[in-house]
Amino acid sequence: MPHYVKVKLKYIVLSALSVVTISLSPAASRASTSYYNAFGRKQGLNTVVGDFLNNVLADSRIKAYFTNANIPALHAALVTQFCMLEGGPCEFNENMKTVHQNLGVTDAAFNALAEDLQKSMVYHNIPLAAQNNLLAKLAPMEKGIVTK
Amino acid sequence: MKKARASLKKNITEYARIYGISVLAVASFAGSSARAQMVAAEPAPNLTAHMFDMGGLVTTGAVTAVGGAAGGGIVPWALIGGYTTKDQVGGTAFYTHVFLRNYQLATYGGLFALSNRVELSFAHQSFQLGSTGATLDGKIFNALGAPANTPESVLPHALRLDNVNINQDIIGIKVRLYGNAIYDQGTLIPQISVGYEYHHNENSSFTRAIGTRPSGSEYYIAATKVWLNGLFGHYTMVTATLDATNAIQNGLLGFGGVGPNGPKTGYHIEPEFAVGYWLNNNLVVGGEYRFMPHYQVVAPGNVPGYGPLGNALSKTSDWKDVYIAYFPVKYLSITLAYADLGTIASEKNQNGVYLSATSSF
Repeated sequence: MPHYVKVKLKYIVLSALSVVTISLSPAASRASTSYYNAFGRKQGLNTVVGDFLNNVLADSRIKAYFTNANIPALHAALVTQFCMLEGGPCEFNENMKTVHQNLGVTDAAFNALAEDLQKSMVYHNIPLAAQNNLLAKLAPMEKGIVTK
Repeated sequence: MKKARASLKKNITEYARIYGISVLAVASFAGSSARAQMVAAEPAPNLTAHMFDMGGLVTTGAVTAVGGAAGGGIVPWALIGGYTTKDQVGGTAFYTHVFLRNYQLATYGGLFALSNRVELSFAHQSFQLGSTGATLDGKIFNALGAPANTPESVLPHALRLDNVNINQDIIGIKVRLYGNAIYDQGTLIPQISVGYEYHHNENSSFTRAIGTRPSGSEYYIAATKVWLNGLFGHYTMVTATLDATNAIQNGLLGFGGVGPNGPKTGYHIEPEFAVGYWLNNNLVVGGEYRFMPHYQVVAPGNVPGYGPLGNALSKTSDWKDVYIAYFPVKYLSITLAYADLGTIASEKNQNGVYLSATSSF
């Protein structure tokens, strides 16, 4: 391949990648009630969170963190939080950092929790885009939640 | 016949004396081995099922590039292989086989990952010339003006290529400098890693015969961005890597090359790109493109006899592939790819099926 063609090709590939990157950036801030509806609104979230917590309490990797937890209150808080993150009509204002500061949460525990949530969402056939939107909203909270 | 043999030997010896190299054709092989690395050497993070696993959410931990580093088939990614978090160690092991039109590339290796920060990798590549080796010997004879039916034994031992395997070992280290591809969402900031690879070609008599060095180093910086809610709400990955290298066909044909005034070893900076799209949590499709540097082997193009042979063997193409990776479970990936490595050792259209398995622990 002549050198100038190769150089040109490099720019074409670079431009194409820039377009992909730029077109993806709005996706990060996308929020619409369609995700909330995809979960089956409040009732659907109740079911998903219920099974999520069942998974967590049966998960030997992390169940020790919840020994002293008020599970019904946690259930209600998670439904409200997920409702807000998925664009539903809910207000959730608890500070994730404050809530977790004394728990000594590790990255491994954070990941195990996310896995248990994913398992519940898959089990209840929540549409993939709605699942992934919730995970994308929760992932950056690692910085505040993980202290160890 | 005897006279022709004697004169060929004399030609080769004389040229070798003048240029300080042993001549011939092997150069083009080296090219292929370099990319072979792609097949095996770079333990990629598991592409498949749970690219990211927020601890296992995304199947990223189990895919390996040919060079042994975590990545795709031919491009190292910024991700650290395996599924380690900041308080864990882990690793992967892989085997990759590429069936090209004339050659095959077999690669195995593995990596250790420390605290999602450092990745130490190893890969062994075997570039198998098969019966094409004899064809290459014929091309060498032809370029040197030897009569048809000249026996292979006339060639220096290093250039008798029938059924020869060119083997290469690669050790690598990758360090994550900045960012976390999975946790950093809602921002364009990628995960950035730097890497170093040392390549050692075991067929040093061959690389010397074609005027290249048997070992070399590669330095790269890789940026990987993962969107958990990417295109159509699916996990989406883009990687851009800059590679400083003097490897010819990823080192399979050696390192550096010949210049008008003797060996030429200057580095080239080449970009590499990879994309991945998760159809679901267990299935990833994507493509990769790796620009390859061009070095002259055997002799400068204007040297009578050897020059045209050198030109033919020097031809290098960019490496590219499209792949589909399946993660039956988070800790295992099976990758099927169609790889196009272009011209290797003067044989054109080296494309074919790439099969790879990576397990992580």
